[in-house]
Amino acid sequence: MNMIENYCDAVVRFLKHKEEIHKEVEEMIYSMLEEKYGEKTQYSDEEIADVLKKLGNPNILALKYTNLPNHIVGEKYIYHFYYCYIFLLMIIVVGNLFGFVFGTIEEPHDVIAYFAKFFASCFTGALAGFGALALVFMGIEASKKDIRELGNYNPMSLKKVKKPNPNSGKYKIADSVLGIVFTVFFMLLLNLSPEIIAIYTKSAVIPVLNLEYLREVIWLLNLIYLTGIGIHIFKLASREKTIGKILGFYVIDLLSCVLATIVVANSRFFNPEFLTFLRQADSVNELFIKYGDVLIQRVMMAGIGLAVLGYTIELIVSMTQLLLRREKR
Amino acid sequence: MQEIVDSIVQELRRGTVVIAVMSQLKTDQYGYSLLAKLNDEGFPIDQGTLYPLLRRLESQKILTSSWDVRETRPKKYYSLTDFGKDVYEELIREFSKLMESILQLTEGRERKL
Repeated sequence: MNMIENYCDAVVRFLKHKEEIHKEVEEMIYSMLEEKYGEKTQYSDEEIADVLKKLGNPNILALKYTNLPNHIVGEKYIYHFYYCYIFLLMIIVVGNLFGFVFGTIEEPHDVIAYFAKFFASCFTGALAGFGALALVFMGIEASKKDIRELGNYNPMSLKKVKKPNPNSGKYKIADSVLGIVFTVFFMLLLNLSPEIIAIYTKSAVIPVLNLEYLREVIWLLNLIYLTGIGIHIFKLASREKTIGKILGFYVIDLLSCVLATIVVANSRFFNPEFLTFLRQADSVNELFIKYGDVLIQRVMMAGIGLAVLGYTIELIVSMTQLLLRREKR
Repeated sequence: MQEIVDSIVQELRRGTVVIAVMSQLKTDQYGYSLLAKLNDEGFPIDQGTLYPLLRRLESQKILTSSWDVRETRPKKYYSLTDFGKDVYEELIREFSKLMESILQLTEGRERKL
């Protein structure tokens, strides 16, 4: 029984409509067993292996279900190609991220230029990597014998495919990667070149933040950033959503909001020259007169309030999706 | 020579497998019974080709399917939809025209020889 299950799992591993195709393939196998060995409640391993061998390599059968074009890389190596390319992409992103970090440390004033370079390098690296990898695999294919070699697979040695927990969803890789990239960017910006966040007029550059106060509280902001990066790395390493993770991350996000509130609620957060510049506009000045000097802090805290609302909505949606998935099961 | 002939015959079969499969689905058939019928009628096809093809035809709304769970092991039965029947009639017309053309071409060539 395990051999049949392993075979079906191997076929549907990368397919859509996994459940339906799994049932179809299972039906196919049992029909073949019944035809050759008669209708039985249980079949021996040798009988099952014989039928699975006739059915052929599960990767080839899976490809027939996808109608994938395989002009660049053939059926034999197409999955290897995809695996290698994903791995290559990760190396390109991590390598460029290191380049961005060290480049910014060396030249802090060019943080935005390095950030733009990071994205450009990732994009060109992804294209170049695809081309190079395709050439390598084309060469491997050309040098090897034909695809009938794949028929020499051994059904008895099919590994058990690790199936994801059917009750859970998954955290998206792209969300976590983008989260890490932008968190690193803002962390470097605030640590190395906070003066860039400024109003640029013809006569002066007015930093938005109070740089002296920022230096006092930067450790707290870094703690928030590093916590965020840690959460994203954890999500990449263990992508399955569980109730525990959803609740845990929600609590951490709330704590981060509390810490952020401590920082921005201080009247010293903004540069007094920036506030003076803002008050030059009559409408803004009227607001300051009406609500007092704490107006900006209230706006910032309203922003944090919106973030908390966003996290709460995300919590409710994620929990509902998980619970509905469990019920469906 | 045989290898070349075999590979061309394989292409011919690939071009006509859809008509062959559809011709047997005016009544409900499950995958393996359809396979056996086609093999008996001299149109050998392997499971790894038939089952994905049935799925593809279903996604094109040419076939419809349902699981029969009454037996010991559930079986998926296929049959032509009304749209599938229209497609099949059209395919038969086109195939007949093609056959006529081929016969004219081959008989004409023999006459010249």
